[in-house]
Amino acid sequence: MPSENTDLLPGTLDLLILQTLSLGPQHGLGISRRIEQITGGTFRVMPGSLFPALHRMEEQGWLAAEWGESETNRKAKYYRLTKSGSRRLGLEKVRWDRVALAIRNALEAR
Amino acid sequence: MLGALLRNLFRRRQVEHDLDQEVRAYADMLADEKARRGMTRPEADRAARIELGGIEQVKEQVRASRSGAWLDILAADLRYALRMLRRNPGFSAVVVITLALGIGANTALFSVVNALLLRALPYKDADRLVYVTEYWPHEPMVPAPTNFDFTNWRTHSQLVERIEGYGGDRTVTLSAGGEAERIAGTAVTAGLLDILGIQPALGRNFTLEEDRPGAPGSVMLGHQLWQRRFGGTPEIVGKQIEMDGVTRTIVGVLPASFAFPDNNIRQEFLLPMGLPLEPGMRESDFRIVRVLARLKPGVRLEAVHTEFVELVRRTASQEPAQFVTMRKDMEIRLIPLRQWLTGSVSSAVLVLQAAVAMVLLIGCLNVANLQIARGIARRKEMALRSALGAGRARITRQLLTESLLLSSLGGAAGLALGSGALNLIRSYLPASLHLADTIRIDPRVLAFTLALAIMSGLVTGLAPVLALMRARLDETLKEGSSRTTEPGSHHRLHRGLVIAEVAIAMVLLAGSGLLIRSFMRMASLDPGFDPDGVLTFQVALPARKYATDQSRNSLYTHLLERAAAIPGVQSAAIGAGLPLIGSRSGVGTWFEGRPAPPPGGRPTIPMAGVSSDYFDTLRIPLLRGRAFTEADRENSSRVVVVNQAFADQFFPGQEPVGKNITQGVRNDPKEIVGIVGNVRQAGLRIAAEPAIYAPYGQFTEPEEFLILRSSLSRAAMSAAASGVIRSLDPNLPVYDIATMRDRLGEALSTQRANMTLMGIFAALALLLAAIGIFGVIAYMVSRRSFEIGIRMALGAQKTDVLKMVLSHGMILALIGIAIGLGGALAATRAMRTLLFEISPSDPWTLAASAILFVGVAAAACYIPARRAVRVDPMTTLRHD
Repeated sequence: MPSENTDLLPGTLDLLILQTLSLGPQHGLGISRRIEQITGGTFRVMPGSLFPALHRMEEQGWLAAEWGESETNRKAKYYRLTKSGSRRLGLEKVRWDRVALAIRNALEAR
Repeated sequence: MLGALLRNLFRRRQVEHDLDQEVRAYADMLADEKARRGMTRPEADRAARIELGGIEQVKEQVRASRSGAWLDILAADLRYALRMLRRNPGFSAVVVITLALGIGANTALFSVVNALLLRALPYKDADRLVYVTEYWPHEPMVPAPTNFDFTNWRTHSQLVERIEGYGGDRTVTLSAGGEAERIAGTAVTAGLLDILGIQPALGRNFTLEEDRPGAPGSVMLGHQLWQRRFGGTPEIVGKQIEMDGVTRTIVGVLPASFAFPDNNIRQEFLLPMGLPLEPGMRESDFRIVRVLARLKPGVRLEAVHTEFVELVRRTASQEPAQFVTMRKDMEIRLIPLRQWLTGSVSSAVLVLQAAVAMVLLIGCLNVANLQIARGIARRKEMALRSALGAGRARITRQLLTESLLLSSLGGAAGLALGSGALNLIRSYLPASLHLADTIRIDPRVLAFTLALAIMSGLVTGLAPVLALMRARLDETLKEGSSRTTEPGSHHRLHRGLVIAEVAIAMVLLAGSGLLIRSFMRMASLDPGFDPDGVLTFQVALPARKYATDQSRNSLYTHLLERAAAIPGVQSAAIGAGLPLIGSRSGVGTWFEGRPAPPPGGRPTIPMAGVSSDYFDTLRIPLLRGRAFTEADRENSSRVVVVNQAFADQFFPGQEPVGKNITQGVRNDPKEIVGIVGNVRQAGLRIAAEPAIYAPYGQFTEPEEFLILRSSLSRAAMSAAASGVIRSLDPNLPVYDIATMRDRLGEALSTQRANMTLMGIFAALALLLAAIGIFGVIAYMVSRRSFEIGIRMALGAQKTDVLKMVLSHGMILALIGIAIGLGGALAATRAMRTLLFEISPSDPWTLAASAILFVGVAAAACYIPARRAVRVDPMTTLRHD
């Protein structure tokens, strides 16, 4: 199936979700739209990857979820970052910086 | 984490409900979004669903990522597999029974392989123990090294840690603790039990002092003798008993588990050997010793061999002249203990293990074929599951769960079958193989069975998976009816499996054919005597009471008179040897009038003292000259009768009757008065060797067989004869009572066991292969009934249809048989040692097996072919 979105690097989806939720609680579609927005449309997260990731991170204790009401008055499950999730975000950021730096160096190496 | 796992497992309904709500809300909000951008509501809903990619699929992906998901999936798969199993009881039963038979046979055989070849021997450091033996080509009767070599190695070898010896049978009469009885024991060096790592159950081992020549008598009792004659009392240690007139102190009792590594040595008791420490080279010091050595760690067998050869060579110059000739070209052999213990049986066991492995393989192929056929029938179901969100991996996992469930049931049933068959298998092994007692289901066998069950499950489960992968599931739902023909690849897989099955079964059939022919050859062999109606007993005269030849001969004469007078006895004889059992003695023999051989160069010929009716009673034919008569007594002129093999070997083209042989130190001449037919004296496998018979009065031995030919029952005969013997001397032990038929059966038993087991396995293989052919043809007929209907509607005759179906099956069978024959030619070579007077590539056996297989295959094709003929074109065409 052809897709416009760029495939995510392993681990980047977690990072993007954690980053999005650090701005405040959000439901699934909101997270998806927010990621699209902050990456300038480069990444579009499909529900088939989004939901498994959300549930996995909730089980890890990085996210907590509760039911709330959406902007369109629908009952939706809102995710928020836990303390452990904030720590994780810090770790992921450091790791990402290291990877990004390493890749840039590799690409610029002569 | 744990909380999540518990919640996933125990609050499934809540979790599922939440998930459903969450995904639906996502879809609704997506639709809201699209509606806000101007789509109509139904359009928005539809677009949202498409973008989502299916609510059920998303939910399935979330489920798969949860902790404990595998447990969940496993449970679901198992539930589903159980349901499938219950829904198809016939199919499930066939699969479970097939696998149970295959796994059961493998389990049973593997426990034998495990006990004989894999598990540590019940002796200390058994992997460093070697049995040392010598082969003297010019004196093949000498069974083992002499004490000269033993003492030589013991004193000088640098490479062995320890070297101990034991002797042949020491049979004595024991009167203490009950009726007089002949019991067999063994003489050992003081350290023999130590080298084997065996502690006495009571008391102690022999001391070095007790193992010196001339030391006061001592004895260790075997566990059985201790129980039977001495009531198993511990106070027995230190007591004295009399054995053959010698007073011996009981120093200890052996553990019940004790068995000599040597197969044919019994252990009612042990005596110290008392070998001279510094043997001179006199003939009277000459003893035969069975030698066990433990190599130093890391020493190679070849190095020890070289050392032993060198040590013997160094002392050769000190040997008496006759030894030099006798030991010319001597070979020293070092045999690792395990190889020596299991040598004759291990090749049979390995061949049988290979055979049952093939049976299981055929079984698996059969089940795989069934699974493929069913898998194709289940394509719709799989397509539906795929549409409902199951990925390929999920479907594969589920199919494998199904086949693993079936194979586990098969494995469990197989384990039960296999352990039930252990007693049967034990009874087929030679009685002398005491390692057979250690055959049991141990953890290694269990692991083996488990591995077999899993492997069978994977092999049989993978086939339908492969078949499904080839079929494009998404196409399947669109197919309206089952009329469409199958993709050709299924058929190829199907046919390939059947051909493989037939080929493997053909190899087994050929192997069992060879064993059947071997058995028939051996059973129809003329043993040289008439075994029917002959009962034999062994009678042994205690040396103390019967010290002279005269006293022995007088007893034998009376015994013969009274035995012949028993009502119903047609003839009675005694002989110090029997066909199949062998002769008691071997005597160096030469011929009058021929240049004397170098000292020690006379061939040793088996010789037995017999009574005048010996040949008549056993119906060994007299070919020339005369048999013995009552007149051939102690004081009459010396005479012998020889067999045909003797005449052929030593008097080729001459008349031996009337010639003299010479024996003994004084070269006493003995006249050959007759020639009798050859008998299989040393066992059925060994062709007749030269043999000499002498009148028992002239060649008196302390043990003789009493041989009675009568029309009475065995029990009546046995009671009457025992009575006669007791009336002569109530303390005379009688033992080893058997008919010559029994002894013949015993001699055939190994061959019969190999034939029976292999026959069972081959029959199983043949049956499975036939079921395989049947299944594939029946399946083809049912799938092609539409096509057959059309053909018949268009005017095809029943015979055309029959021919079409039959030829389809027979082509598969013939290809398989041809491949199998090629395989048999290669594989049966491994069974050469199990065969008797037949070549492993015997064309008649191979041809007969192939013809049998063709017949079975034709029958297996015929049944479904007849069903095809009965197809009513109208019904088929109207069907769906």
